[in-house]
Amino acid sequence: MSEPKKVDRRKFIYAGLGAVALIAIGAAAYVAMNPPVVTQTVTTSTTVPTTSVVTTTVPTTSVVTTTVPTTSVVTTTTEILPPIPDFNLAKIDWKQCAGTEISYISTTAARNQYLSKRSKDFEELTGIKVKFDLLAEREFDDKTFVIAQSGSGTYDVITIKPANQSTFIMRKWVDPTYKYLEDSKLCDQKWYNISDFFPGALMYGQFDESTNTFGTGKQHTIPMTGALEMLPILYYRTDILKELDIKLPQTFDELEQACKIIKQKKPDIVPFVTRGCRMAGTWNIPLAMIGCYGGNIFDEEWYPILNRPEAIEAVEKYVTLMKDYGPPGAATYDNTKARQFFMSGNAVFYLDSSLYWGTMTDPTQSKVADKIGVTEIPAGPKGRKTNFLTWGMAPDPNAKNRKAAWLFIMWATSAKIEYETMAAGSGVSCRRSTHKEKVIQEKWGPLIDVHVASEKYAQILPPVIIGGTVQDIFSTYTSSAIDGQMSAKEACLRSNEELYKAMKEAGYYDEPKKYGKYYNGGNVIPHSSDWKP
Amino acid sequence: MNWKRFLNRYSFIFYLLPSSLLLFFMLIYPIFWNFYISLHKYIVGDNPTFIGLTNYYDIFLGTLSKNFWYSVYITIILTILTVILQLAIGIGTALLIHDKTQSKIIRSVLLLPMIVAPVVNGVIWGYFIYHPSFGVLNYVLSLFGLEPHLWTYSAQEALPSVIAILVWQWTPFVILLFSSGLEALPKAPVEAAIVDGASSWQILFYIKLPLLKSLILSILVLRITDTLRAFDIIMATTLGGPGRATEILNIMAYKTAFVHLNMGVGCTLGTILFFISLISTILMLYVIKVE
Repeated sequence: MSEPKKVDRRKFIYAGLGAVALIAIGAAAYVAMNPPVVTQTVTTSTTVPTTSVVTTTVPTTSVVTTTVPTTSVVTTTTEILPPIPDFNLAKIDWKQCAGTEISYISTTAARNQYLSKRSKDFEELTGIKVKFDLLAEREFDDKTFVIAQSGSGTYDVITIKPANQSTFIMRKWVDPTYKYLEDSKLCDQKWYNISDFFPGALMYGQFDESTNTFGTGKQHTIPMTGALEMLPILYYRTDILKELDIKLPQTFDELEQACKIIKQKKPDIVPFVTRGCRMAGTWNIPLAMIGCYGGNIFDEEWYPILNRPEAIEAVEKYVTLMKDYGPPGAATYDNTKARQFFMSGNAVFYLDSSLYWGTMTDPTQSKVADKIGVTEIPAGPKGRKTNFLTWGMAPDPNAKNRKAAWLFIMWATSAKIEYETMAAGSGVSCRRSTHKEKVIQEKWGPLIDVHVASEKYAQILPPVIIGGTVQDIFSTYTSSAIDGQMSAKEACLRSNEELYKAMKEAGYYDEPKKYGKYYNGGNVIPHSSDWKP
Repeated sequence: MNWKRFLNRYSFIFYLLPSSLLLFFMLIYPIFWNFYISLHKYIVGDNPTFIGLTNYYDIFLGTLSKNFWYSVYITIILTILTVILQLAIGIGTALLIHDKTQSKIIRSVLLLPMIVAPVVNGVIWGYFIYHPSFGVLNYVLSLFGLEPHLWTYSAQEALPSVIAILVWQWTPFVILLFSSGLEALPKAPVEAAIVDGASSWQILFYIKLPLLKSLILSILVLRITDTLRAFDIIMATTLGGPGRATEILNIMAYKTAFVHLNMGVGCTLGTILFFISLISTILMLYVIKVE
């Protein structure tokens, strides 16, 4: 038997020091590989006249301890997160619903394809598996309404179109998200930072239950990942404007004048294109133009006011641009046809959604990718107005895994995923922080400036519970006017008459009042006592 | 208890039950449910309120009558023109080439328009054939120095253009059925007529067509009921527009139910359309029986 080796004291101390050094090196390496996210400590000093000791808890997660000795100086310490915080900085347990499986319904839009690709990361973070059901838009429309109405809770996370959000909220087809936002176990408010979203995006999901008013009150849905649209903005061909020495039009009158010149000097190209068909979101175009002319579709009490001179003038301009300077058969152009027409190099001006900037400047998809410029909507006599559009996300009230659904919504709409979605070119983020990032500004170029400028005067679509009906009535008549079946004025008057009937049928003029006032964050016009349908 | 005898006697029930249940839940029950909903004011999300025949009154005489009668007019025009053209071209072509329709290649070619999905058909016609700027049709017209047209892109030409698609798609069906009928004709009367010195036209009008009358009526019934239900091609090409130029009853019912979310009126339109199809079918079957 061999004797055990003796370790002398010196060697023992050296070994100990060695181990400590190794641990220190390891820790340093770990820190170097996982740099702590920049946190900042802000110390503020205020003067308080009292002399007692005060401890307050601020609604945001940070705790402010205010020690007031006999002197009057208060020291406040607040932790500030970076603009795009990582998931590990959220003070919630991401694994609280591990092992569940949730389902998500939406369209085949690029933003959803991107979320689908990234869902493995979510699964890794939370242990929740997500099943995606991505459908063609028309199929999605029909299916979501049928499922919501049946109350089957087939999908845990539902996504809602801008014009349908009021219907879903009012009918209680969504589980209100404010419940989750206010629950500290499910949402770290400071990390999630809901105030980072554009106010217009949040308005679509806001509803005041006490007055049945939309656009204000508690948050019932969350703006969907990468689903921000300014509709319309103006795209133009830089090469043609340069060739014909035409200044970029700033008003609709200037736009018409420019179209006139193009038609005379370059008859082989169509001066202007936008949506003109029935449905397909066509109403966005005349609606924004009516705003630019100082009008609106409804007054404050939900009475249609398309028969007012400013609305008629705006629709006349829209119809003239499409009829006299648009493509043949302009009355059948939906967003796809109009976009394809412009991207094939057949039109000079294109008035449509900011969502298409990525596609139009992609050389694999657009023949004129390097010849496209973008600017704000032209102004009318009363300035500029454009529509702020965003989809909503919420858990289904009848779904089994609503908490897990919320965690997915929070993850998908976090600053990080919003940023990554936009950086990948898969959608436009509804968060301000994303737009401030250098990578995004470089990738999305002038569109960022247009977005920032448009946001100042953007209005949300009328949060009317019969959005589909209103849209169909208005676009049917504007489409007929573009087709030459009636004048723009007649289209306005007939739309107004039919809208009044539809709104009456839906109970908008019932007493006692069934719905709150019309609020869209823009130019709401007071109800006039001499109003006529 | 003689189970064997009982089973022998009533076993047909078990054989019929699966298909009967399927038929009941997929066809009979929705018809009655549709009628039941049509008696209610029912906007999706609200609770249905019983209003009797108010929806029917609104549609026939009230607030919706203008749009409804316009859709009825469009539906009738579309059905009559489509069916007449399909039968005339189908029968004419079958008479010309019926001996060749037994060829597998010809049959495959004739089946092609029918097997292409209607939505694909709509996109092909809408984008590649009818498009005023890039469409093949205007290009062909320009070769002959003719003016370009707007086809499905204008209210005046949309309906005839949609009819042309329906004729193109379903005329081969008429050709195939009629050719089979011609093949099955007894040869003796035709041979006797030839011996008697009858001309080809006389043989056609006095022998062949009278013998094929019931087949023609059957094809007519099939085409009328099918055309009344035309929906997919219109949705894929014009969406019922421009304006309301191609809004047949089916499109109106769909828009009312799924766009306006007014299920009460949507179901009323569905019920009306059901009765129109039913009455036209009964009439046709009666005529066939009489013949």
